[in-house]
Amino acid sequence: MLLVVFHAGEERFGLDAGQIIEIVPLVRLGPVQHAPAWVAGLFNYRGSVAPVIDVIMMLKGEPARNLLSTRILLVNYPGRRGESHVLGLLAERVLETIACSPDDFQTSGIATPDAPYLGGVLVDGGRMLRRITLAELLPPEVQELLFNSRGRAG
Amino acid sequence: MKNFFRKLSLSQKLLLSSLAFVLPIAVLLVFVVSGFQHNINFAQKEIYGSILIRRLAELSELTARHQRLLAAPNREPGRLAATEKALDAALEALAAEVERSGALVQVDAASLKLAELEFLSPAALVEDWRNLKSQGAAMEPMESALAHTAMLDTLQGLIKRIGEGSNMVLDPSLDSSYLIDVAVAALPAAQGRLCEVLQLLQTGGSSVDRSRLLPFAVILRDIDRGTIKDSLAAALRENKNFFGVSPSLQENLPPLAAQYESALRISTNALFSLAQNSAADPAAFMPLGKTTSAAGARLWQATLAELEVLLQKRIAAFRRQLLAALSLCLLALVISGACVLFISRGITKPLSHVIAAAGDIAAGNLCRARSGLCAAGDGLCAGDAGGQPSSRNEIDQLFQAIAAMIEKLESLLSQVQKSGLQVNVSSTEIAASVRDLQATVAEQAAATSQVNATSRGMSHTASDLDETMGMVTSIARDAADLASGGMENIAQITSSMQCLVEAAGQIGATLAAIRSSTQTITQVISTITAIANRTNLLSLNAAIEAEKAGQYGAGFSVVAREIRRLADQTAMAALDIDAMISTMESSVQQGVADVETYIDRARTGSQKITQISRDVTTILGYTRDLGPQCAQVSRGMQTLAQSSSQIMLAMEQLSQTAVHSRDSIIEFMKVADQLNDAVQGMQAEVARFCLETRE
Repeated sequence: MLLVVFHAGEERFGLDAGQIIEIVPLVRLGPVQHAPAWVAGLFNYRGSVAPVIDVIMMLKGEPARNLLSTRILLVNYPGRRGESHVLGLLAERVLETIACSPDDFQTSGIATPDAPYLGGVLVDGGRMLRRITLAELLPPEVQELLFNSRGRAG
Repeated sequence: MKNFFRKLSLSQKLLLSSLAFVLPIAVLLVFVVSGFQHNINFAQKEIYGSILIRRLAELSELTARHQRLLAAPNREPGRLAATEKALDAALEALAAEVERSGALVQVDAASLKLAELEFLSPAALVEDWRNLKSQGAAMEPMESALAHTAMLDTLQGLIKRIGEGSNMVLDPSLDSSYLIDVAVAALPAAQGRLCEVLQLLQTGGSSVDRSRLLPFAVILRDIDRGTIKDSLAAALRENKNFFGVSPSLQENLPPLAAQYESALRISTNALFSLAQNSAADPAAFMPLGKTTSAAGARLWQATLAELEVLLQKRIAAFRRQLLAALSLCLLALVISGACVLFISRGITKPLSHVIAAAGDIAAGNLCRARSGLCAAGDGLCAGDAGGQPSSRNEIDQLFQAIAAMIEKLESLLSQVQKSGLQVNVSSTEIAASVRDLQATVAEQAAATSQVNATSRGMSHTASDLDETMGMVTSIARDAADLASGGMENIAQITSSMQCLVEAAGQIGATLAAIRSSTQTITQVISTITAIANRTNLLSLNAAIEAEKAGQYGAGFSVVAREIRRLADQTAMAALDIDAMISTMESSVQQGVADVETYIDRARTGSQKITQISRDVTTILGYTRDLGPQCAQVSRGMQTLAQSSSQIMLAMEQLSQTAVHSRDSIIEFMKVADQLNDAVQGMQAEVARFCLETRE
């Protein structure tokens, strides 16, 4: 399997490449009023609107910096009722991929009920990398908020 | 004249001036006395005239009576003889009177002859009377009447002559003038007319021509009566206005006048009836006429007597006035004389005191002068002279002035004494000072010789300095040459600097070109970086797509990895270039800044060199000027050498002068000694004055 690596501060995180539709450079996003701080804005993906989540804000509590390597990862977010939604994830230093097998991951040993999206830890070349479980990334009420409203609107 | 007047004493001058006043007063007095005397003589003359007229009146009365007695039909020899006797006596009395005062009233023979009135003389009258008396008894009545009338006319003429001769007609007072009018003119005329009427009636008897009576009656009634009455009334009225009221006139005259008037009125009335009525008896008129004639005679006599009283009164008044005037003049003379005496004594006596005091002052005895002055002027001593209010009397003022003078003189003398002492002390001090001065002059002589030596040294120094200045001049000339050489070098430096500045400007331009090139490079690098980034993204997406392709995409995945590695290397190279470029850029910037600083400095240096060039030019000018200035200094030094020789000369003169001043000082000492002697002499002189010790 292949992991797309991104950085939040000094920590490295990995996301399954199978779930990623495409990586696009950072563009100007449409504004969203009265949304949580980690909602970065709306993205026009080939004619349809996709919400963009600031993962750096979610992980570190700071907005993502405007770097050349700051990019938007467009993913198919698996809904709870088996449907999938296009979602943009804003992340810094999206520069490399790591090929690994699922057995390489180790559990962290520490339960994190507030952050269920943090998966196992991979040691690669002496540096640690944490896997992000995409399906757990958004809390259910947020999923409801994002996708249901879109559904109603659509 | 002036000298003579100056030599006279004060009292003599006063006497002279009073004499000058007395002389005109005496002349005036003579005039006044002669005026009074003239008036008195005038009145006296009138009195004489009046007395004569009284005698003449008596004579005319007696003559008329004699004529009537002669003409009477029954002669009374007794009465006739008595009348003749009385006439003789009256004529004798008249002759005596004429003897006494005839010349005065101009009825003496000489004056009558002069006036061609010899027939009026008393001698002629006596002659007439003798003829009449011897032939009277034998005469015809008419002849006798004519002779009597001639005598009466003579008497009338005499009366008139006396009236004129004794100035009675010129009488100055109205009362007496009116009385004279009555006594000399009116009453004699009336009596004459009455007498004539009586004569007519007596000679004519009853066959008298009555028509001749009428004019007499008219004249007597209408002229004589009125004239006599009015004149007497006027005399009585005017009496109080001249020399006082005469009581006898006021008492005696009015009854007599009234009697006469009533008698005249009755007789004129009778005369009228006699004239107009042929039946009237002329004999009845005779007693009336006689009564009237008698009354007229009484009035005449009384009038003349009262006239004399009035004239006497006037004389007495004039005498009184004369006496008063004389006594007043005498009194004034006596008073003025007393005043002259008093004033002259009042002046001469104090003056003698003052003269004595002045003599004392001259003798130097001030104490005696003061005491003498005190004794003379009471309360005018010098001690209280200032305290008293100044008197208006000049003598008092003189005393005060003398007293003040003595006081001032005393103070002056004491001041002189003090001053003499002070001068004495001062002259001693002067002598001491002169001695000091002598020493000082000696020191001055020594100092002068020192100055002489010093100026000689100065002269030497000045000539040395002159030589030195010559050397300085040559050195300055060399320095000027050197400086002009330096100027050329500096000009070269300036041009080099200019070249340097230009080169620096070129360097700056080159650096700016490098800078723009680096900017272009930076743009290229950013483009490369963007391409690498895109390549990286592309490789990522390719890897994702390869993953999605599964095992079919494994080769593609390797390609994607290679592409990403190339992109990474490109990015790394770009980063390196970028770092190098930024380093270079900073170096270029530094270089630009350095070049700019360098250009600034070069510019400043150029300016400074220009400044230095100017300064060197100035120095060159100064150095060139230095030559003439040195020459001036050299000349000044020569002048100094001359001046110091002159100073030496002057110092020699000064030394001679010091010798002279030493001689002068010796003279001065002698003079100071003389001054001392003089002061002692003056003190001795002042000591001669007896001064009151006032301390």
